[in-house]
Amino acid sequence: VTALQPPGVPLFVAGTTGPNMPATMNALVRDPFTFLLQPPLFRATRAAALNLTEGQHQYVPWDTAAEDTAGGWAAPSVVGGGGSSTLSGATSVGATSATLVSAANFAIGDVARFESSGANVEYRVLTGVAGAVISWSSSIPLTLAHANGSAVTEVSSDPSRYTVQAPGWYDVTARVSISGTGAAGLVLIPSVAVNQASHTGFNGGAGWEGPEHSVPTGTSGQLKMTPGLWSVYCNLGDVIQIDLWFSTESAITAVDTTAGWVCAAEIYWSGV
Amino acid sequence: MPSGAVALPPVIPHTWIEQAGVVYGDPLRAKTLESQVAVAVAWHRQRPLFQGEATVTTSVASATYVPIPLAELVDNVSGHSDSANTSRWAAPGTSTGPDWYLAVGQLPFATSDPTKSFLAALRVNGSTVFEGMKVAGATGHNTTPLVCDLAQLNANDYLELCARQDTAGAVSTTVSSKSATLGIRWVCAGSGTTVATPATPRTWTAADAITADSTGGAKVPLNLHIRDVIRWLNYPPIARITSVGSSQTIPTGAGTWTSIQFPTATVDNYTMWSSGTNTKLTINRAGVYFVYGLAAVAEASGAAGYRASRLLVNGTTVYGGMSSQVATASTAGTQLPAFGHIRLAVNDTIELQMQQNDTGALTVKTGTGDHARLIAVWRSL
Repeated sequence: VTALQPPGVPLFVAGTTGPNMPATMNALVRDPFTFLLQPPLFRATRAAALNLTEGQHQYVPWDTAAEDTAGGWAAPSVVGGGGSSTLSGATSVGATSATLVSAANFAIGDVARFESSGANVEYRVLTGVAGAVISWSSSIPLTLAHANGSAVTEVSSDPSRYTVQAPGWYDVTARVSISGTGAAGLVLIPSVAVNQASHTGFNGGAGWEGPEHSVPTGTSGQLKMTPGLWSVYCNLGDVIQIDLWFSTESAITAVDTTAGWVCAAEIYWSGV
Repeated sequence: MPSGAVALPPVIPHTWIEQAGVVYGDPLRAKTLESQVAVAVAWHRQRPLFQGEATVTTSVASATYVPIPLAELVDNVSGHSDSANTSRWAAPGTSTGPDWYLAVGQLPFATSDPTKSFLAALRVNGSTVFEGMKVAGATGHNTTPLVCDLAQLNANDYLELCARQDTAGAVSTTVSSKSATLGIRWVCAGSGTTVATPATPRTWTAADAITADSTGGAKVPLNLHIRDVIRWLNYPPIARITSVGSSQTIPTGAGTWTSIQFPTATVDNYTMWSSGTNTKLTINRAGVYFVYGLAAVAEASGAAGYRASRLLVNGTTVYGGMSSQVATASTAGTQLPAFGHIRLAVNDTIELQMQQNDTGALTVKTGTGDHARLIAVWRSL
């Protein structure tokens, strides 16, 4: 971890000699003030198209980071010499494993990317590799179907994940959106997850649920967005994700990509 | 404090005196640095914080603000009791009170009634209400409104999360997959001194010549590098402006956004608001701000269509808020938030806008508790 850490209470000891004063002032004044004036902050959006499945929890994979002061997020890149194969048989929504033509060079802990580009791309951290079969947590099944022969590639990171670089409380604001013609009773719910769980202990399926309400029933011109606002405690290395879930009354299958109405999240350190 | 000294934070910053002629300058003493820097850091790394959640359901009578009992998850100033008056969190005593607190709550109702309105609200001392999101239920689903506001609290003033609905019967909250929660965090002193936006704190060197205010060469003015940083942390830019006093209406029209007018400022310590251009806040200290707007309109029974809210920066950049079907047989009104953390430069403007497609214009609400509002809180360089 290279990010500046939350300050302790400075202890100033009388008698610090002149040559030691710069180091003392930097450690006890500069660094605490720097952290408090500019604590860890992450602001990101999902600007590109993203396909969805109704009634499924999906952690939003960010593709644009406006700022990430502590370096908790990274865009995924292909791992040289890592796993690279194709599906041997299609996967369906809800799958927690997949058979590859070859699982060579995949290992537990790797991030597997399903499909190489476009709105159908999904990422999962592998929890098992056996023969040609790779598997991942049953609490994060695939939310999209992937055709036989689709590429499966090891990449450097899961872009839905912000990894906490300094412990403490984080204020999380998020907005999730869907696009298409609505229907009576259609609800859209954002959740925040810390390590794929709810900070409060009340788990809506993929985290701590935010507001729930009936979104507009009209066409895509009637924008459909729900915001959420939470404070969560995180230890160093914990993972924060935003889940998007919407109910099954409509035929909607994608997020909104209208400027300003894309899925977005901000994560701000607010104290220890 | 590490030395055992007792402090009542937030510390009122010391102004160093310049040495001049027969006037002795203030020395840079460990004791002074402890009472200034250490006390400030101790406070701002761990400002008063409460977070509680409901562990039992509450029956919410119709047309009544019903407080929600909470079990504490964290309460670093002992403002809450898990055994008595459990809906309440009381503010601590501070050197600058009444201070400003940012409170956020959400309230899941076990209802699927699309004809009525369901509301989350904050209440101070059992009487002063600040309403939040007010939306219709959704057929086949629960309904969870959210409330957020900036509240000024004296020591021992207490804040509660309240539920309200207008079904004419009782509706329960839920504690299954989701539960009511309330979070409160100190964000700003009740009084202070405004200063320029601090620069990134300097790296001290052996060549530094410590002064009070004078600059040039190797001179390092403590009033700039220590006092003013503490002043800023204690008293950052915040604003809360409201529609109280407005007679505005929001015209009907899908795709038509209307900026909400805010004739009244509850707080505006860095003069971001002007009564002459009352639809916007104009930033005069750069940084990342938490911005929260609540669009609030009156509704007649038989309302139709949807309502939507958004934030607009510099008249061009959109930050989407929320969109919702309206309650079709309620006269309680609709209230939709729009919020986020937004990086803003000096002279950037921010507005709250609303859109609706009912058959006619809707009047912006101006009640003491159910008005539209726009809040900004500075959070980071």
